[in-house]
Amino acid sequence: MSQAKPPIYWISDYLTPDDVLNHAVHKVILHKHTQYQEMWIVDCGTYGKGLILDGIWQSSTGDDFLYHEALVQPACVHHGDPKRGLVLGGGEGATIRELLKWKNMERVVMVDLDREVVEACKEHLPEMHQGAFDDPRVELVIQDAVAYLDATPAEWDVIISDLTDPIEHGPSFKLFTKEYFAKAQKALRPGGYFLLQAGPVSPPSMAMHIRLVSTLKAVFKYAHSYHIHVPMLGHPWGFILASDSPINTRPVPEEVDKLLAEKTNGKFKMFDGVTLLGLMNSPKHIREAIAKETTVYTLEHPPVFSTQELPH
Amino acid sequence: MSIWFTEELHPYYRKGLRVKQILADEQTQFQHVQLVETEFFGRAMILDGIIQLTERDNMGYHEMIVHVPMLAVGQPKRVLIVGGGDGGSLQQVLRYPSVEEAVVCELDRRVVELSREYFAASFGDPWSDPRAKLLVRDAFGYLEENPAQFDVIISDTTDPIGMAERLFSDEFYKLMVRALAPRGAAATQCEQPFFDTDLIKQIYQSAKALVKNPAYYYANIPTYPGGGIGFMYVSDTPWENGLKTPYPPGVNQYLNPEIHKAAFALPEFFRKELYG
Repeated sequence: MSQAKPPIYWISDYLTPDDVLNHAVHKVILHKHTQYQEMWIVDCGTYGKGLILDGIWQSSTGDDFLYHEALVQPACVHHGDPKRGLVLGGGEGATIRELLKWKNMERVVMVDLDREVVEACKEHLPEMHQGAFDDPRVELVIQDAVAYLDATPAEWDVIISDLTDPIEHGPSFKLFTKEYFAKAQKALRPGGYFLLQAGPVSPPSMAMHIRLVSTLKAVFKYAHSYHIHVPMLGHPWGFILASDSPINTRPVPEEVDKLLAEKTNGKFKMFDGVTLLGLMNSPKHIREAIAKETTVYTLEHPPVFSTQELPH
Repeated sequence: MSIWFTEELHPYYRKGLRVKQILADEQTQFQHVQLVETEFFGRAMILDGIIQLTERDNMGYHEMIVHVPMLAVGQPKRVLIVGGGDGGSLQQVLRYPSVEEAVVCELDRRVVELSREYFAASFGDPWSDPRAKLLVRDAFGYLEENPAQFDVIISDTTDPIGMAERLFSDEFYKLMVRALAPRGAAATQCEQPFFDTDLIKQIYQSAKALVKNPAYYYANIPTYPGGGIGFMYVSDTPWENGLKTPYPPGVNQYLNPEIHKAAFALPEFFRKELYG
């Protein structure tokens, strides 16, 4: 342990009813019930500070780069020269931070429903946003993601859907459906890419992720699952890249590195050409599950279960 | 996800309470105070990581630390509470119509303020009783200044760590006995027979050198280590005198005549250790 004093609380994250990841809390930095959800920002010791929304561990400053670089950069590399980026959710500001690494990025809009969460992250998690909210290219819109997508013209090169998990009573519940993805598709410019934060892919918890792949395949010409290990989330965490333009699952590392050197500020901790090649290639059991899956989530039949339910 | 408060007073033993909500969390001049709403035990106050009381099980502690010496004395008039900033002991003391003055010597004003705010449902507001007198100061000096003044002294303290360590010393017991009026009685928070055998033996030896009838007794409190806590009764007056005294007005939730007697019955291993 990095601290001599015992933690003041333990937050037990039930990965399954039988498997618990305990996070130490050395200090509660903030705890509040916002209009939409319960939020905590805590000092979790070794991994720095953590953000928890509606009882689900969102991110920690010690490993958020693994999550956010993997969330944003593959879509940007596939586009090649993104100029307009839209982020749906992404309260911490780390997602827009990643988009702003692209030199030709002209405009980044972040749409988040919960102003109180954004304000709290701005104040208490500078390690994550790194000043991104103050960048003149960034516009913060406090609005429902669906309402924003309904109104926006087709002007986006990259759309990142970084929403909280679709727990039944949470605010993001309906944003994991075919109807929602079709709105995102319409909002893309030709050659644009959509990226979905798509839940855990550990063997007992991957069903929702797999069904989200089949749902995106019902909307976009191409949809590709990948994931990364983010230690504090407990599960390997899944993403889905979707587009009507092709997805290259065998990128040539040297070409990717050349593109990054040319078009970005190069400030990546984990991401480069070799990393992208690795990311795009998932193990067999996941590929097989995707090949077999036929479920499509719709507004009529949305995902209805939490991935991290508490055992009774 | 669930939130657990886990107490690690001993490096070999842990206990945890499921937390529903954090009510207050602050670093006072003296200590870290946590007030939480727990899943089963209601509200709990935690000082420097150690559970001090919960709504659900504090009555055993407060009734036993207060009534055993109060009943033994019979008609106590002046009472001193050392520590006791939560007000639970004060509430029990004030049940006695004979009490004219109850002085609480508490080092940390914030413990009193936070308890008044969060434990009003359990304790009412004993501080508003005109007989109650709060002194925000260290008890040592106060005891020194007040020899032979108190019919009953209740030492309702935290554990012997840091600033409270002196309250478990021979020096403290000498001062405390000196502050007792003739035929007065004291009771002290005196830890756990399994975990703190040596400390309790040492305190018993101190008490034995000072008074005729010291005795150790015990109460079940699920949220304390080992599921309970003991007290040292310190007086020339035998504790058995209290068995004949009628209870004060108000309702007991823990104490009854059988418990009163049984509390002094010690498990054989511990009886041998303590009384030889």
